Amino acid sequence: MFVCHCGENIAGKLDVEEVAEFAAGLPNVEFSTDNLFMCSKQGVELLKEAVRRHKLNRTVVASCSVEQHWPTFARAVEEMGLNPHMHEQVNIREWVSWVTNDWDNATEKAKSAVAAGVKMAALKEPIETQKLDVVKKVMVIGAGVAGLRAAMDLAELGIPVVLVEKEPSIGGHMTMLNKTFPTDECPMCTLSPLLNGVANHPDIEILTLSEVSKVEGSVGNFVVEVTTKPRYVHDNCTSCGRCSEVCPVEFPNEWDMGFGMRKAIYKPYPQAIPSTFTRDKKHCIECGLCEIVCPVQAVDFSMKKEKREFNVGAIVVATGYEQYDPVEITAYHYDHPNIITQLELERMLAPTTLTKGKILRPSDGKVPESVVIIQCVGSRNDQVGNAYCTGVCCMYALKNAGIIKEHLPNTDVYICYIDIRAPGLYYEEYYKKAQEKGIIFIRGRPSNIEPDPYEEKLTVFVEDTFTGEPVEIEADMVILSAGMIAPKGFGKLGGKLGLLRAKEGFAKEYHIKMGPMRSSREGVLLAGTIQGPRDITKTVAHAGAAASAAAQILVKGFLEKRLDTAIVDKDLCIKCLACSTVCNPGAIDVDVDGYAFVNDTACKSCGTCAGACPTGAIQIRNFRDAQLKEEVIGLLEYNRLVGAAQ
Amino acid sequence: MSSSSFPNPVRVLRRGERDEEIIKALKNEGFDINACMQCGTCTASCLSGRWTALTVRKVMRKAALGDSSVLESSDIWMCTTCYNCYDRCPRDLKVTDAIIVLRNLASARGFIHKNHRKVVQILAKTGHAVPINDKIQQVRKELGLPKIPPTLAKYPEERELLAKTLFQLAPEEGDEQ
Repeated sequence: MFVCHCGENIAGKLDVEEVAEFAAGLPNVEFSTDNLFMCSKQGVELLKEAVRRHKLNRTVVASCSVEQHWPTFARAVEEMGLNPHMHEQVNIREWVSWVTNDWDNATEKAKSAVAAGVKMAALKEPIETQKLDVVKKVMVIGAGVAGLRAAMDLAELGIPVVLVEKEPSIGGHMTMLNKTFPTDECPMCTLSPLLNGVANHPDIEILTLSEVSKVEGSVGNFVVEVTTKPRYVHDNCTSCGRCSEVCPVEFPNEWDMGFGMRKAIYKPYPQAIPSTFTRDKKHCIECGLCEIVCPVQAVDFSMKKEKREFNVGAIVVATGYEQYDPVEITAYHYDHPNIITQLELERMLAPTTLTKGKILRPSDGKVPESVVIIQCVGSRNDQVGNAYCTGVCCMYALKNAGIIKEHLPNTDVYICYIDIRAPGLYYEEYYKKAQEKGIIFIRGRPSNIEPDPYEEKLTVFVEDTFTGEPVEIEADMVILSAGMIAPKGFGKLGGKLGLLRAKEGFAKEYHIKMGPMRSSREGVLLAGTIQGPRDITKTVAHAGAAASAAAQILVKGFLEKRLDTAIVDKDLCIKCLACSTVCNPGAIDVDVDGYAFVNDTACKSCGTCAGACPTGAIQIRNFRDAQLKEEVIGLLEYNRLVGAAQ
Repeated sequence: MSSSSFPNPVRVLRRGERDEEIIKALKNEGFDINACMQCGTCTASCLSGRWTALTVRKVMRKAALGDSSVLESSDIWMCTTCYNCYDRCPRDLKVTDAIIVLRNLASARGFIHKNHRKVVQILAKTGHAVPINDKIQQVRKELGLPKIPPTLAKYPEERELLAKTLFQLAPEEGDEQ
């Protein structure tokens, strides 16, 4: 029995020495002591030495959670020749000292927990680990910068990758941008080596126009079904563009956010990968001109939807973000042609669009003399359900304000903001640089924008909180810095993958500090903005971490599965299969005789089956009814003892 | 949206209505007013501001927006030029120098605090900021010093010349005179 002080974490709130003394008097306890930090090297050595000297066959450490340090002490007893499951962890930190200021009662509660732990330890059964084969292949869902980075990192480790993208081309939002902060580099220049690298990598298979339609299996061995929509153009397309030239249908290009046009057979943008054209069936009038002019007969209207199954060991989810749609903030009149979002501005600045990269007022093509940028549109706003700060908008607003000022030095550029958030190296410097360009910063969140009914002018109402005065700004154009939100369609995919989601809609990480790239499900990793809003720098780092976490499962070729899983006692099983219906990971099958049968790989040891079983036939190893009963007895006995004494 | 029916109309930020001269004057002195991030270190450092209406941050803000009311107000004259703000500005801006630039600009437009104007008038008249009155002359006598010190006061021609060149202030303007 070892009682840990955890510095002041435990010892500051209860009497650890008294708890250790009490434990020494319990039945089966051979040795009991307390220590400043059991998890330190000295603490672990103390435990090992006690096992050796007193020939202990079970250990109990009263310290922190099982999650935190059970493995530390289990490893130590394993080194001493015991089964690691002979170690029992009692949590007197999260359960006791962290949640109270009552010294006496905390000490008593710790004692009762220790009494229960000692009872439980006596009944612990040894548990083996099993080596499970894993499929050395990863599926990456989403081919934006996060998906590309993860795919490339994995492929470079020699792990084959299937890259699934729902759009006709890979690259994601980054390809839509005009410049990237804080260096004002051209994003296509920085991204295209990665894009081309992924496109030409022998270990990466790219599936565009594809979505995941079914997920089965568990970590190390998933079976994923992917549905691919027909492109109606075969891969022998030389990208000559004649089909597009003759196509009579023209309408706004989604990829250009409506600031460019495309045909019904098209390529979203010139450098798009794959460079094969795509026929948009919805808008096509089926005149067949493209089929006739194609010099290589690549156009084929008869192509059908395809379904394929992939066997993979891990899945990286990199489905990215969506721009918040400001239309619901009616005071900002997003429906007005001269009020646009930052992403729309990025497209307007591209040389391939209708304005040929010039900044012009959308309603009449006039050069704007005054541009107002409004921050925190759809971020830091409880009214629209997004309490969080996107954390990227300040930086791209600084960037775009600077770009407007460079293009149009005589134009007044205002940024209306609540706070400028430019943390980290080179970001504050970037803010200062933007200030020096002569951008006018107004600290205040505009209440409303009033479009002039007769002219194209807009009036922005805002308080300059620095002077405490309400001001009106006359503007030709207003740009809304719309925040990042979780992609709307993610619910369906998340459901298939069995992922928990945060209330904001993003995929919930395993641990905000220690596992931001892990999801709630083992073997499913998160890369980039699907876990929460972040900029490209952080997305690339996050994706690299996700790739390395995916590889960690696969490089050894096997997984070590702890068999503290469910087990069926056939003598008690009445073949009702209630366990199977409640099992969330689908780990319970039926054997040839009709009895429930547990697939140890898939079992998460959650115990739901044990609760559903009417006869107690299915039990979790080391959480058996008999063991838990003994633990509860330990708890109650102690309380009765104390109650009697009082 | 007209605000004319209100006694204090809302300020409208409109192109061409900023006082570019203020921004230019500061820029010429190597002071980039836009780099100010309105943290308030200057105001917190300001010894004068604890006792007077001077809020250095607001002065900087108004100057950055080209708001000419900053020249008309008596705030800029409350600075003692102790250089605390200059010393502590995290953006390394020469705040005190900026106030001096603003004062020069204000003076050129005739906005001078009446006490300062009086000092200059006395200088022009007597050659001394502190007048050499009977009492002081008596003290000088007791100390064995000449009645009139060997300064401008002793050289009326030089004094007149300087009064014509150096001590010429722009005519009074604004309400505060």
